[in-house]
Amino acid sequence: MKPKCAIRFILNNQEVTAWESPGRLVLDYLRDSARLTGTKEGCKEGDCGACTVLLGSLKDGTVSYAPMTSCLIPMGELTGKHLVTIEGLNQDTLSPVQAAMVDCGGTQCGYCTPGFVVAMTGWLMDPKRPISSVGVRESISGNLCRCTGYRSIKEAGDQVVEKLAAQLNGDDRIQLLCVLGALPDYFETIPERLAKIESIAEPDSSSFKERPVVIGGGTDLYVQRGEEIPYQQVHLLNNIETVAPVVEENGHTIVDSRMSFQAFGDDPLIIKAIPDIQVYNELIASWPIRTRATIGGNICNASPIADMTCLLLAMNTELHLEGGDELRSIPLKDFFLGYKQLAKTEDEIIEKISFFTPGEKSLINWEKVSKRSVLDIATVNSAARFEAENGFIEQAYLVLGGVAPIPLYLKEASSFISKQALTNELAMEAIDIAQTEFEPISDVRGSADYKRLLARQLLLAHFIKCFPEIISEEVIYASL
Amino acid sequence: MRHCDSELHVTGLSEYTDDVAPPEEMLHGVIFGSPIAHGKIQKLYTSGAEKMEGVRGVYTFEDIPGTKIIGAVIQDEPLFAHVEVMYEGHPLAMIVAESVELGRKALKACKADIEPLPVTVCPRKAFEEGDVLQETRVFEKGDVESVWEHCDHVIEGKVDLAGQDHLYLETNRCRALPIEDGQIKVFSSTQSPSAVQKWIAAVLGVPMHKVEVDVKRLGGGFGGKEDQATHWACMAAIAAMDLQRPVQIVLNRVEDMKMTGKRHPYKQDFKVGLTQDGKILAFDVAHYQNSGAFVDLSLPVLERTVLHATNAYAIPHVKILAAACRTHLPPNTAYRGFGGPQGMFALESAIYKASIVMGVAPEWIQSRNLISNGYRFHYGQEVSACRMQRTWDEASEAFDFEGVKKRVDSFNASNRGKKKGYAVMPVCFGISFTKTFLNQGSSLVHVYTDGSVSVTTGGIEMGQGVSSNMIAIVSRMFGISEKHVRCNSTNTSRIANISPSAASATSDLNGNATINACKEILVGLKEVAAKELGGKPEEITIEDDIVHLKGFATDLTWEKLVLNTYFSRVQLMAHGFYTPSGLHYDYTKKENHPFHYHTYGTCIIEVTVDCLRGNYTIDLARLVHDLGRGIIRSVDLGQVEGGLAQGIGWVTLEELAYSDDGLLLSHSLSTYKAPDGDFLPNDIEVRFLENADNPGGPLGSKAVGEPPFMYGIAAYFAIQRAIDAFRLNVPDEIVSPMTPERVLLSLYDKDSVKPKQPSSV
Repeated sequence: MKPKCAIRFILNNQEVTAWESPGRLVLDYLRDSARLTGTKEGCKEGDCGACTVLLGSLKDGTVSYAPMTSCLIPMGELTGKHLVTIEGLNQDTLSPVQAAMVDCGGTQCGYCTPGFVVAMTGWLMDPKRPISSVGVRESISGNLCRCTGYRSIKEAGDQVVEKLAAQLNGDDRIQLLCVLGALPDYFETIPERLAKIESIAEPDSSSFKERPVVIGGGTDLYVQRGEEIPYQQVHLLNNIETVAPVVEENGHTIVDSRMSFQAFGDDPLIIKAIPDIQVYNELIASWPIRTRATIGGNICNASPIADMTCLLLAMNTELHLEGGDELRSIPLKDFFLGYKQLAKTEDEIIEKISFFTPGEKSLINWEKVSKRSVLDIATVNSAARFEAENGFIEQAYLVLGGVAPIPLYLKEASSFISKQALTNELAMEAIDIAQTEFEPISDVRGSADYKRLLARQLLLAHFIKCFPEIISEEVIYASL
Repeated sequence: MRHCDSELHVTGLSEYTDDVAPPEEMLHGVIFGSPIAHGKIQKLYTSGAEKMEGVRGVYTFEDIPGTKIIGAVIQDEPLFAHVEVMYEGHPLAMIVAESVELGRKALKACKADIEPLPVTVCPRKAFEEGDVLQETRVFEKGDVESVWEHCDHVIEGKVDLAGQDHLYLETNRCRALPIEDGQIKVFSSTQSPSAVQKWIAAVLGVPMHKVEVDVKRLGGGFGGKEDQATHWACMAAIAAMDLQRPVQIVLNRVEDMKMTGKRHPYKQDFKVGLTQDGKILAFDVAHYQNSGAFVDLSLPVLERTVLHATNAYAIPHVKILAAACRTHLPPNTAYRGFGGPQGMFALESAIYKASIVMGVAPEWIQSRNLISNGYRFHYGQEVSACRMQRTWDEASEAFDFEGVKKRVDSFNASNRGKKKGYAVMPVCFGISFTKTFLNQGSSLVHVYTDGSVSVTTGGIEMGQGVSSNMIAIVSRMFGISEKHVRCNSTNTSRIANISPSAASATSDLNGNATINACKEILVGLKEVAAKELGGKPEEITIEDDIVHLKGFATDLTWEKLVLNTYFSRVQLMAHGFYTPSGLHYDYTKKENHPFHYHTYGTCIIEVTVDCLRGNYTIDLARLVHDLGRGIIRSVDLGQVEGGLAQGIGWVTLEELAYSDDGLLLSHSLSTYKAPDGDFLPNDIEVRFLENADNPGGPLGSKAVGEPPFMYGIAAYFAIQRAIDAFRLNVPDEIVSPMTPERVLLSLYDKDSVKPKQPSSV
């Protein structure tokens, strides 16, 4: 039996009340119930982008849209939102994005095409995204095409940029895009219409004895349990209240655990704390996944190669848990007990995370190697934070992912290299010490030999990048 | 003109098999596949599933009413596993339920007792054990053994080539609808509607005329749906007939990856002999094809490997061993290039190794051995209208091979942690089905009384643009605007005995058939026009929708002419048929002519390897391609670029990882990585030969689907060259794909990592 409830939202240009299980996938609803088949199923795990939709949320009178793969969104999250599919972007004539895709030969079999069109359009709609050639390429970071080789699609992106860039100045991109024929006019009525939609009652859970499945972004959960969750009671964290921006208090940076990767990377305080965060973010999943994946979810999923967790371990992050007998805090590096085993009770949820705000002495670097640079899972990742001055390392935090059952804080190596004046030899010795702290296994992402080698190389990369005046590439390469 | 479906695609309004509104009462089939790769079936438990909510039927081998064994070339494949399971995912049963969700729930209640049997995944092992699908063949030209001693350099080596998943974005799917009088209508995502029709008729035990197969479009095929869409359509048809309700099957991604065959992995041994001035005198190669569990299309694929074993090179002495080795993988199948890429890769490996031994650039050897007119291939066909040298020379000049070499060498001299590499890939690819009988095309052209035209051919629209090409051909033949022409779905009731859309030949065969149909209609049209305008039929032409007499426009429009023709009781529809002449191929004979013509091209790819991390970027791919006279530029360009992209993917990222017991580990898009937009270069430049009409192709064109795939091979050797610039390390066995793992393990010894306790401890 499915726990169904009434979900009210706007689907393209229509107010809808759907009687659905809140855990059902939006993709299945669109294709099977709403019969909007422009949204395609390619992989059902967020790895192809053929099912990309836009989800608009109302805040302070304006609606902001984010691209998402509908194969990972629970129906329950649509409440009070504007769900836009490819059909919702259609007008009497082709939009500039659609026209450019036709013009440049960016579509062949056509199966992936709606996803590309939706993603590119979504990029234009978000005032935080630069209207540039590079930008539009980033917009399709979550879309796979097997026919074209992408050159024609990139050319279509360039054509859109050329046509629209000069005219998309200003924050109200939606209004400008409507004027330019890039969006149907009804988009301008959405803020008012969304405001009128009442929130729904939570589904009656009295008939369900089991604990609800707690879902943040769902990007890992649905990949692992996509067939079960629609039948289960769900607790949707995104429905509780709007995620608060990052704050800084008493030298600590504090982050709502429900914050998406994208919001984290866009937050001014995070950019200040971790200057290269946006570069890192572009190497993590894809844009439509980053709008869903949450910091807390990444930590709780406890994957040994969790990208954000790796970085946060090096930041010496502290977790703040609620839902237990008392609010409590625990260092992230003590949170992982074994493979997918967490130092928390089932009732506890990570509410916030915090870390000591980096200062002038802080040097931070994050590395990841995967088959593809974008939209891929790391074979090995690594992060480092050094508190250092003039080549003297006061404190180092070194982390490796993908080499152990847990995201691994390198206790020995970090402590060895701390309170030392760095030299080539010392760096190499720290790396040799680090190698004693794990025993990688061979799996589909790489052999144990490869992971061990990668571990050395990525740790080296931290030293090379953070201490270019001290670490000599010549000496290093000669010693490998 | 653009791809005719473009506007539907960008608006999401184009309909694929399961996008069409489902008929009332439609049921859904889900497949229970074998959990292990090889074993004896002891008992199959499906009664639990049968009792579950919404389940309307469960089907196994016993439930097939007619022929139970199918197969494209040899009938060797039970539609459902019988006695033994031969690969992971081998279908054991199908559950038919009211919804996909209920079907999948019931799937969990299925169980099978299977006694594991030994698993073979390596073709060399299968070969050693004598488990081959046909007698191993050896092809010889000249006498390699007699020339080794005359060679200045003799180089030997091995190759381990991986397979490749098709990764069409649309997985396999079909929908079967029972209709009156024991007939069935099937919508299938297949490249081969007549094969689907034939095998459905066989498994149901009914004549083919009771089965109608209709295909509007595919969300990608690439060979994967040439033979392997058939199984699912047969299964759906069996249930639909039995239950007398429509049945749909849509494989999910993991099922599609586990249950269907892929590009054939090969293991190869080679020996090449060269003179000091770079002439290849002899090439001896053994191809051990990993055919998978059943024959499928493995034998014709292997045949093409043999035919393309010398690619674009003139080699006086050649010996090729070809073995089709049975393994416990899904039956491997057609995939763009159809064995050609594997044939060419071995020789490129030999040339690369030779270049290292001789201390020369590989392209120095390549350029000294290109074929030209008069050269006779090892299969007996003489090279004519050769454009190999021309594409090489134009590429070399346009893309400045010399300059690239200087630039790359200088970059490598001044960079420690990054190295560049480049490689050139010449391609000569034969066009035609090597099963000569398949070289036939049919077209049905209807001119309606309002002047609109429909064309139906045997060609399947799978993105490659065959529909657009047919529209372009009709429009040019009639001298009318493309707006008047529409291309219909491919349907076995309108076109009989359709050859699969494959071998790059779809537009060739069906385009020429369409030309023939148009010509037949034009005879009548011109007679009617001549009568009305007072001239002779041969003085009539039609241009831009206007009838011309002796080259001058008249008042007679296309629409008016059509109407007059109809009222004159003159034929406005025609069926065109086409087969190229002069083709013959018998592998036992020395003199053969398997190919209508060859297509040529030369590509250069440049890469940069990050020697710290082992990953790499493909910086550019530039090529000159012989397209004949293209039909629609954007469509042709899309085929070239798309083929190149898949070829690059095959030798770089795309890694099918199997466990020792034959289980596919990379069975989803999170573990199997095809190129994305970031990985493929922004700098792709394609130049087509100009003034290069091809008399054999429709409107002077050349087939374009497969040949560009093989340009991608350059990516492999470009990366190897960058590795060798860091540290000369050509392995004895060349292993593809060149994953970042392979790169890093080539750059450094794995034993160079030395875990060490802190000295202070």
